[in-house]
Amino acid sequence: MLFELSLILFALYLGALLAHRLRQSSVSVFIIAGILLKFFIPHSEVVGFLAQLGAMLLLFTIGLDFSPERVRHSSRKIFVATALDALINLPLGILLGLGLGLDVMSALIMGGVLYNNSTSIMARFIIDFRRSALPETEYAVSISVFQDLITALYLAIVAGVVHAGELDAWGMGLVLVKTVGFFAGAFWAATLLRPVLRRLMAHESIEVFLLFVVAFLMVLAALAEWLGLSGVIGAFFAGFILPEREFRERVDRVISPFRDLFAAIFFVSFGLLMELSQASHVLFASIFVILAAVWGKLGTGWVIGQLMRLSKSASWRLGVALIPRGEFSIILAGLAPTPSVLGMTVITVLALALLTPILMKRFR
Amino acid sequence: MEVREVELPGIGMKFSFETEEGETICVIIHKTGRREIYRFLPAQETPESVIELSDTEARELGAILIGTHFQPDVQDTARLVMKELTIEWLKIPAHSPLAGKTIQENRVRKLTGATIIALFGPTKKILNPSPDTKLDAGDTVVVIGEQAQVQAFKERFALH
Repeated sequence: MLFELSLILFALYLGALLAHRLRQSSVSVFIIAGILLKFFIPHSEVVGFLAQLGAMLLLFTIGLDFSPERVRHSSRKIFVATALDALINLPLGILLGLGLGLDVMSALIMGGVLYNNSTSIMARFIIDFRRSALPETEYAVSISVFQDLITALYLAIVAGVVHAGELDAWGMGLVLVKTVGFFAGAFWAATLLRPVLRRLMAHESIEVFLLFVVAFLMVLAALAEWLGLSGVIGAFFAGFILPEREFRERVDRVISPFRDLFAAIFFVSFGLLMELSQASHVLFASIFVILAAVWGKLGTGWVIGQLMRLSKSASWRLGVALIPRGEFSIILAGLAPTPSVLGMTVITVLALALLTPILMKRFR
Repeated sequence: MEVREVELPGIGMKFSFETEEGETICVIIHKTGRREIYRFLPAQETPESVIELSDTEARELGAILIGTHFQPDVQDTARLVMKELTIEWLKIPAHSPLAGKTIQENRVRKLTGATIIALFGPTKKILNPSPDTKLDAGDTVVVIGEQAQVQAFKERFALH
């Protein structure tokens, strides 16, 4: 066991080094490392467990970007833009999935994969291209953060349905009720418990702080699992509930190292699980996924931009900014009953990470 | 002058305002501490220039801009408005009740809530002046307080 872990971690080290050198997202490099490791070691239960921890910590920090206050204080423009983005890209992904001959469940997941763009990868490109101050950036980052909330809800529903197995109206309705209940409960608890949470988190000891935050995360993850939702959803809502503003720096310092470590194992485990037997078929299908991923967001950016009276070029830039997909899409794809969805998603995430900077240069 | 403040999740905070010439100055404070200053010409959407600064450089530049090292003559009064606190540079005119008396005699903090944190004159430069420091007409005081307190200070001591 230790031998396998040592191989994985050494590969991750080299991968991170390479990603840093190439200025690429380490996510894609880690997945490739996993695919290469597949030839040497099997996927084990221990790796699976560490990976799950990684997924939870990842979604926890995504949830932290978000708070009930932000939902309340966001302008109507942002809600409209977010809704448009979802209404265009979710159905597009679902239709594409069905068109590629996937089962209904996998097609639904494909919708989420195509819809959610990566806030972190996008933010890096925006910073690199010095577009932080441009008018469309406010929309791009806000839409992207809201997407995570909508995707979490969507994921909860889809995962609940996968869990239940059969896709019937009754079961679907029950999952929907549970998800909305969990979300409403989290929202309500967040508002009510905020002063208490704030005091508990303000403890001077780093150790107390760390254990409180992780315990809180686990309690909500366990609660979500007990409700038949996915544990990662619980983790996301844990991040959503905790007051982030004043503790952002502390969380970053204390939690991020654990997240980075376990998330790296999470991505490697995807590579280890990848089905390579149908590689050519998957590669071919990915072309359509990539095209839909690019054009869907370009169209979205254009529609939102025109509606919000941005200039032509700002509208295009908004679309381009929304193109990169990332970890959330991969987590979703991992839940699909058809294994090729994961393959297509990984290839798409990789391709888009390479394509986005080229498009950003093209659309000035 | 109105400063617009927007949070950019994943990036940091954005502050922007329009200058008298109609240019838009936009400051991005990244989560990493990096600062960027964008300058947009009137009605332009892409920046004319971008300045990038590290946290330390930005603080140093900020100190220079608010006149820590050198106060030009035009600077009779100046304002620095933060979210709740404001700092103002105010020149004391001869008719002000402040002129010729000590801080204590005017009961500055008691009456207005504002605090004098520094005092500059043609021949003096006093940081954190003690209550028995005498103020003279022509001196510049640096006052800190909540906006209402500084406003009260200006009204009470005729510093307009």
